[in-house]
Amino acid sequence: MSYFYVYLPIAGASVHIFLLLGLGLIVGFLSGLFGVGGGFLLTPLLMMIGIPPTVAAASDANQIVAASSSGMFAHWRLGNVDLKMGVILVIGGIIGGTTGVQIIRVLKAAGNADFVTKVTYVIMLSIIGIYMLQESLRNLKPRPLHDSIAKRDSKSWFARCSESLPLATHFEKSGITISIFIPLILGVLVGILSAVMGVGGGFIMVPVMVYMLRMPMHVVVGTSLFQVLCTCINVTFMQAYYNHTVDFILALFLLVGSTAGAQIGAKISNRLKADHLKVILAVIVLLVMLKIALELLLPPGTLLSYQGES
Amino acid sequence: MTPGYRIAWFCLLAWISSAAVASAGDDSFSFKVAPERVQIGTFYHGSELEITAQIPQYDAAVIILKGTEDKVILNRKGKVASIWLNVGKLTVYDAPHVYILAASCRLANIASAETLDRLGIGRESLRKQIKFTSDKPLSGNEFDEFLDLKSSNGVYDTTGQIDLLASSDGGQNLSAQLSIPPATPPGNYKILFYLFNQGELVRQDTAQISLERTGLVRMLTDLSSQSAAAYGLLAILVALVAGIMVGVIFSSLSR
Repeated sequence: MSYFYVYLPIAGASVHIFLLLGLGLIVGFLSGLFGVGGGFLLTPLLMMIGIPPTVAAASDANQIVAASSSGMFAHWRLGNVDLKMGVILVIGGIIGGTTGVQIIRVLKAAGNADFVTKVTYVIMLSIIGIYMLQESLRNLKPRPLHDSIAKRDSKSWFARCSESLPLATHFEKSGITISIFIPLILGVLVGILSAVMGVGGGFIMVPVMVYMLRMPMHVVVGTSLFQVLCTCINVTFMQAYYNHTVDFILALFLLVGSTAGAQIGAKISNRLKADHLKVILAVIVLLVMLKIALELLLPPGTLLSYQGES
Repeated sequence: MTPGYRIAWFCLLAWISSAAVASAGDDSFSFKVAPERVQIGTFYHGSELEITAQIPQYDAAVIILKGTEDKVILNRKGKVASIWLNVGKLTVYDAPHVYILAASCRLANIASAETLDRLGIGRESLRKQIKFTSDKPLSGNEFDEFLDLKSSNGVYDTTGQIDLLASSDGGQNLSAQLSIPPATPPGNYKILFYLFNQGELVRQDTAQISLERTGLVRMLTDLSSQSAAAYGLLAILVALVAGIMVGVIFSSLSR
């Protein structure tokens, strides 16, 4: 027995307590520093320390329930949650999350659940990392004023497409009118990703709400947290019920580290320039993506694996 | 020969053989394993088994911690379009799920390969014992791949050491430590004990230990498998309460 190690009953692994707290702290710090949930970094980091990918993804969703709940209630009290938008996103999220859990179940039986998780990570992290890097590098360069005005005034393909959809609804708090199919479909997509990747989906939902739905920033954060919380509650329950992959002890240790790290990160972020932070985050995202891609491309340490593992 | 005579002869032979074993038992040894029950609790990080015995002046000793021999189905990776992914299933038969061996010297110096194979001692005997079938043609490297997998988390290990020290009564004190890795699943395990003299097996004995989940670990694994819905709800409830509490604590601290 060693008091510096904790036995994770569902993962079936014994991990150093400070390693779990440290991982939570680092991811929480980055999340506080950059304003993202951190789930998309935590799941691959857990895989790297030997937690089976499906357990890492499910337990991370459980950890996000804790991490997003305090922020969501704070925003709720301030009136920053667009409940109508949030509920539609959540309905989509529940449909997507439930579908994602069933997809994982089928893939797990076929033996390729972890491969799909890794590939999804490589794709999503590449898109986000490259986009963020381009965006922040562009913002660091001085731009002529007329370019940005012209860009803001032109209608995007997404806006034109959404106007053609039926059931247009006015969302009072966000001050926008769009078809309910837009948030519903986005909710489904984020729900699927949430189940497959073990993420809350905030890193996808926030840019979508800002750039595509054109919602005001203060409502975006509160509504995104509401959606993330509800989606992760659904995913945690489904993963526990169908796949038995939620490691409650793992989630608790991560939560302690991540909440503390988030507070430290939030304080430091005020002293740094936003675009410099984005460049650093983009590099971190791309490095994690590269590590996962190499795992898929380089010969593995062992050619055999137990069912349910990578 | 009538059935009555046959039974009488059988009883006589049985008595003679038991007397022979008792005579061999004159070179008796007491074989102690501690602990006999390994508890997998919240802070479990594997365990060390202490094995001690007082034995006569024999050449060599071998101790094996062995799990049950079950059929196991594994995923097998292969390269498809430059990417490594699971491409088939490999079914493994007669493989102990744990095999941890300690010896007082190199196995090749203890007994002949035939004797070691017959007793199931060492890596080469496992190679002959374990069988494989697959949905794809077998490559012939299955045993080495299987050994890599089992060795990667320490559940197959043949490098343990046994110390034999001369004692004052003319015998030897045997001591060994077997490391049980954290990945060893709960269950009952056999400890097989062999003593050799001049290449021949002279004594063998068996003991049993168990690995059991206890406390919180047992409660959570039972709940997760038997009442998955309750486990899911508990995980959500605790996360919600913990998240809100941490938020309240930090906001009051920042004030």
